[in-house]
Amino acid sequence: MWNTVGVSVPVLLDTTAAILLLRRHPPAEAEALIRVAKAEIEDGRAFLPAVAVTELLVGEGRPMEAARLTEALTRVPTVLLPVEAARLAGAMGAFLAGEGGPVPLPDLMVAATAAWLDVPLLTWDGDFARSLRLARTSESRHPGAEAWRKLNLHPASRNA
Amino acid sequence: MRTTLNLDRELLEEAKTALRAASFTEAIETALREVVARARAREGWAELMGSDLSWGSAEELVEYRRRFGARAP
Repeated sequence: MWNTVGVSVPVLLDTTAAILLLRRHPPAEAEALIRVAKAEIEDGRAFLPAVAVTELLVGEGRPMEAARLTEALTRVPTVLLPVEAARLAGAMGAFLAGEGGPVPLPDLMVAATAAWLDVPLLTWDGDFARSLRLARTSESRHPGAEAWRKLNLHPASRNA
Repeated sequence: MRTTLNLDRELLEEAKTALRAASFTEAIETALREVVARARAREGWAELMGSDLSWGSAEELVEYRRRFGARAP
């Protein structure tokens, strides 16, 4: 992924993008996302938000497989959520709550990490695009709405 | 560790500038760390790809997230 001044920037992989990579038989419609994710990994530009590590481990209940997953994830570049981004996540959630929508905390942490780092988010969760559209069509001046508007969804993301 | 290397001077200068390193030693160490980190990341991803570990599908996780956030104020 390249920014507007031609400098290579990293890409944040949402948990859903990581799950597609983990599938032996991923859905055909996710082919573009998987191709992009693999290219970014090969170039050393793909990062996982820390909450994605949590979500991936929540999804593995088999002890042996959980140990294998944990070990492999220690080698994958991961971004911790700094306190500034945690504040951003809170504001983004307050905006969604004000609009009457669901507020999944992992989504907020993933979105805030991408917005705070100013890097594209590659995701197969269409709710990110929905929240982004909601913020763009809203006239709200809530800081959370502003933060959502700053989110840069990678073009290969679902509904981007 | 002290050692003797035959290096391309121009390349070394360029790497030092690109990495904003204070010395040639720092530039070399930073570049080596980067290479090792990238190799480790590729190994980690290679272990994960096609492993069928974790969630059965991305949709399962999306549903889980929606349930997780459904009780917001």
